Amino acid sequence: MSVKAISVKASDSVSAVSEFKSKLGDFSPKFILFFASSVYDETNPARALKENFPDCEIIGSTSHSEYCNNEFNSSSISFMAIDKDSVEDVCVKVVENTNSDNADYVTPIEETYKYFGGYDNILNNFDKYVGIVLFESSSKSEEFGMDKIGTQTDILYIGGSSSEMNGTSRVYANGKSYKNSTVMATLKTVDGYKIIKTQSAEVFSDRELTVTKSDVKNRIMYEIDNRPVDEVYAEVLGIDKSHIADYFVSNPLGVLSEDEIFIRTFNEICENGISLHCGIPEGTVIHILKIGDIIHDTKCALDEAIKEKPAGVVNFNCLYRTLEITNKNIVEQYCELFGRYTSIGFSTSGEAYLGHINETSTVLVIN
Amino acid sequence: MAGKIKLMIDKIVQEKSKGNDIIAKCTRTKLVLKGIAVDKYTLSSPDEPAVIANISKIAKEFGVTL
Repeated sequence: MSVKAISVKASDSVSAVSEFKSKLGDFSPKFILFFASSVYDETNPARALKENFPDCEIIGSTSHSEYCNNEFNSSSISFMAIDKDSVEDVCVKVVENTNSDNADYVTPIEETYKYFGGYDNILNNFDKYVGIVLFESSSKSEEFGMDKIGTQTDILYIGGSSSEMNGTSRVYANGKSYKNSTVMATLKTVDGYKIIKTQSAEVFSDRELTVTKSDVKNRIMYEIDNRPVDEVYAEVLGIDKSHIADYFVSNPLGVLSEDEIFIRTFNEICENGISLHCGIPEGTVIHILKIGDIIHDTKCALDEAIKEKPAGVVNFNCLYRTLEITNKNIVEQYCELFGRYTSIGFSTSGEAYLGHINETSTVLVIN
Repeated sequence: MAGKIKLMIDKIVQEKSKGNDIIAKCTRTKLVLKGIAVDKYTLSSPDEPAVIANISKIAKEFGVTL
């Protein structure tokens, strides 16, 4: 077995890692990915992991709630241990000060190229290299981070933003705990990978809308088609403007690129505009969406992409979606879908693939 | 004049992807997420100066010479 997924609940990080190590037995990981409930943050699970696995590359994030195989947990840590049979090599980099305009994503990517013997070497084995990206969410700068990563490199980075429950949001890399930072792990896989991006949403109206006034940094949209955003949103839905907030959850916005939908969810009505959970640049064409059946759509996406038993699956599932399956009492059905694989996941404060996304599940499948 | 925007988009995708279909698709998506509605522009589309300036800036960031 080249990938193991283990869930642990303990009183602190040291005890949790000790139990994880015991469950691993003689398995020798090359790379450990973990999602730890924020209740463990004070005892830094990354430090305990690095002390126990000094030769292993380690990244992680705090979480609101965790998935492991067919389980859904809170106050737990989900660990994924991957050995050299699945991941040949790993390069971990940290981008700090992501709450400033000067966050440097260029140097870590250049250093990653150098680590793997140059970009041409990566390009010649493009189907083997994939990145995992974990944003510390309090910076609220994921769209800039993903834009900078996507501009700088063609390596595909998939991941999500840290979340928390009764604690502080953090990301972790090799023993250290970080605020206002982004952790990037670039993997050279042995048998390749697949990326799945699934969202339970479809286009509500074919009417194309162009964002004409927007504050991307503060994630506020003011105008669509040179008219107030609330007016146009209400018009497309056929409702009174005073009721738009009632439709924010069921009818988010989507940016369409070929057959892919990139969801942008609403936050709240603000002065002269609506704040979102992802900034949208002016000029972007958007559609109004309607939310669908999360179980059906997730199953279809997984079954279409995964034809053979994978080594491991990592699910970055939006916290909104976790809350939806919890409220609808369909957690068990959802977890059964991922229980078919060796898998971990967590409830994210935003998802990452080509850009920053909302209300989506981004899934990394390691073949 | 017309069609310049589509030609610029095609050049960026071609230069970035160098024939790799996955990179080509991802580059088009990255342009869309940067606010360039790639499917909207044809060889008949007017040469909008603001859009051309934006695409020129993006091309420079991508390291593509137009």
